[in-house]
Amino acid sequence: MSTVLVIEDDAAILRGLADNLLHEGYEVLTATTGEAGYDLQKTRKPDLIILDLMLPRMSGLELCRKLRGEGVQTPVLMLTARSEESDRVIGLDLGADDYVTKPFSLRELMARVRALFAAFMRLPNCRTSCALAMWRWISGATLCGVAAGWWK
Amino acid sequence: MLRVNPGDPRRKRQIILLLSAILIPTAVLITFAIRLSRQDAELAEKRVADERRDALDQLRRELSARLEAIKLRELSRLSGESFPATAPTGDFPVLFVAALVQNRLVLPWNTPPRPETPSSQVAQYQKQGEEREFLGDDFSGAYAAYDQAHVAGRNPADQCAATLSKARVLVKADIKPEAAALYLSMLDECGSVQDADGMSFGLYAAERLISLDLNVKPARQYIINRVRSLRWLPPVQTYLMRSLLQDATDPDAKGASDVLNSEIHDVEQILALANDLNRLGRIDFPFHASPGKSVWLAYGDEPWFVTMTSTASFAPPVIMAISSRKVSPPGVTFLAGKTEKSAPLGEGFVDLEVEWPAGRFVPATSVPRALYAGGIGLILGVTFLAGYLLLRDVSREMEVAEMRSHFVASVSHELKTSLTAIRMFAETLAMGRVADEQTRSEYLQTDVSESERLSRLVDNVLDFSRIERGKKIYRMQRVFLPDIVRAAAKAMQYPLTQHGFALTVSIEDQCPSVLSIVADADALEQAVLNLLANAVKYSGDARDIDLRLDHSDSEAIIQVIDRGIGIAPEDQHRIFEKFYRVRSSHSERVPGTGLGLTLATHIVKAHGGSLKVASEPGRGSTFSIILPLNLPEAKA
Repeated sequence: MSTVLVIEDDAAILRGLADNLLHEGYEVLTATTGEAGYDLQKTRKPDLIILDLMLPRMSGLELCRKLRGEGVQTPVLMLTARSEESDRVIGLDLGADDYVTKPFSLRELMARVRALFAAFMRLPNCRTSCALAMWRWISGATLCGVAAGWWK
Repeated sequence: MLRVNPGDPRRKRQIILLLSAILIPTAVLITFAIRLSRQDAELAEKRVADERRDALDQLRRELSARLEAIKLRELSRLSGESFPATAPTGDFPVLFVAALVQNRLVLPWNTPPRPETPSSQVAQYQKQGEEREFLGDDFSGAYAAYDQAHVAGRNPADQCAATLSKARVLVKADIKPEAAALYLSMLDECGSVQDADGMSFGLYAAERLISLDLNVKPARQYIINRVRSLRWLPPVQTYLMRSLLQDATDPDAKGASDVLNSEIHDVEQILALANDLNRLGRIDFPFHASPGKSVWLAYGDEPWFVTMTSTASFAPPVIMAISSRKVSPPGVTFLAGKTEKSAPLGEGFVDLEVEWPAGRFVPATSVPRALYAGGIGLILGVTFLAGYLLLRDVSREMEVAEMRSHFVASVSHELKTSLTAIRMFAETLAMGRVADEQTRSEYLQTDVSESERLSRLVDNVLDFSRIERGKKIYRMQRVFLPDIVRAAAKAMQYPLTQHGFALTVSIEDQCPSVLSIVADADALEQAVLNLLANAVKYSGDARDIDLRLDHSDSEAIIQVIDRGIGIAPEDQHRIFEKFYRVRSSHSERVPGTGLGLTLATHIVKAHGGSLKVASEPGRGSTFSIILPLNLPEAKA
């Protein structure tokens, strides 16, 4: 069974996410601060991290940078209320694998989680580099699409 | 409070612009002031120079006129007299008028009528007496010979000389009373008789009387009278009289001594003048600077004004000296030589220098220098104060602008967070994923609570915008305070328990009717809710919040007490400002808009009350809404 770590400071959203992920059949870990999330990542080694950008004390961006800096390759899905392009670029550049802005559609979020897992399952032998590179590329393409759409 | 971030180039530019807008005009102003002050000082200097020149001109004219008048009066007095003529003593300014003979100055005392040579008979008797007196010690014989000489004498000089010799012989024969009587008689008879050396026989007698101690008093009196009545005695007489009066102690003798001293001074000065003039070769040299006009030569330490003139156009020239002490105006010192402070009097006066009393010409600037300094200081002070205030104001403005942009981001973040929760639970429910009834009701509860949070947020933002535009209207009606407090507690109940908070509400059971006040119930509830929301946000790890309603006779107090992170003292007065949010590691990412306390303050003030905070960092904060009771009508 795959494990998902959800780091989110708003209790209501955290509960909703956890309930839905459980319903989808994942094992769920929750944290409300960046530090607690970091500790859980170290001890439980989740397969996916859903990370809120606005966290007390250590922000989602900082946490993401820290994890990638330590060579942690766990896919990260970022949640944020900000929707400016620059924010997404920064998030993705810091090593996030996908980006969802609040308020999001539950179905879409679940689909993205599934897609992330699928991508990593399909490439079991080169999880570390190939998947990352591929997802970087996919994200970049998505970003280009979004940017082009916004430009129109 | 100036919070200048030097790294921000825009702010730096603004500050530089502001400073130059203040500093450059100030510098220009100060430069002008300094130049003005310098010009003023120069002008004053010039004025003093003019004043000095004018004073000098006036002094020269006055002195010239005065000396001329004295000269003319003296000349008319003297016309027809022979020279030298000595002026009356006392305050009369003319010291002496002396003739020039063959270009040499005739000293005023230099022309005694030469005594006629004694007749051969007198000389023979005199010689006989001296032989007896000095060689033979035959005093009576000598006396008889001198007596014969006295009888034979044709002029007073011979007679007085014989009498003097007679008295000398009497002294030698030790017949002192007779000698004294002879000397005394001489004082009367021989006072104006002089011998070939210019010495008065009367003085000889007085000298004998004093030095032989025969009869001192009349002798001294004789000398004193002589000093008082005569002037320009030959120097030999003057010196002798001074030495004779040396031992005298009575005031008359002292006064006479002083007169003698000054006379000796004058005598010496005349001698020096004569010497100097003679040495020049041409005695009239300094007096011919401008023909037709008198030229005055300053001479001596207390200078005399010396000029050359004549009583009539055909008469021989004379030298006239006038004492400067007697003609100089008060406060002015005349000198015959240059000193550091003196100025030459100029045309018509040779060697004459004038010294003004100290402090007569002080450069008085129209505006004192201290006033300039004070003015500049004042300008600088005001400028820097204004600059500081302006800078602070601009800095505040910029801070508010920055906080306002933060506020927009915060509001959108808050909105999106609540919307996310609402949408997620609604979708979960819609997808039919929730089987059990309890979870479903919890989801619905959460949606309601989040919606309420959204409403509060929208209310706050709208109210704030109304307050900003001055359009906020309070609907005042009679309400019961405990009801409002309970309503607020109830509204926050669900989110509080959801976050694990324990809210303790303390309201007296039997509330008196005074707590029924005229107020806008919704607004007051909003204020209390804002305080409660703050307590939740800043509780940190603490989970206890108190909500209290107390009252005294005149006021009601609603307190919201948390045990959270507290507020630093320097932030306590700023938290009520719009958009202001405390920046610290603890609250860095606490969600919020920075409006809650601003709104609460406005609401409470509109009810005539006040909002106060008491807090200690790390121990929690207590916010108190203080509302006046028994108010007939609250203002909107």
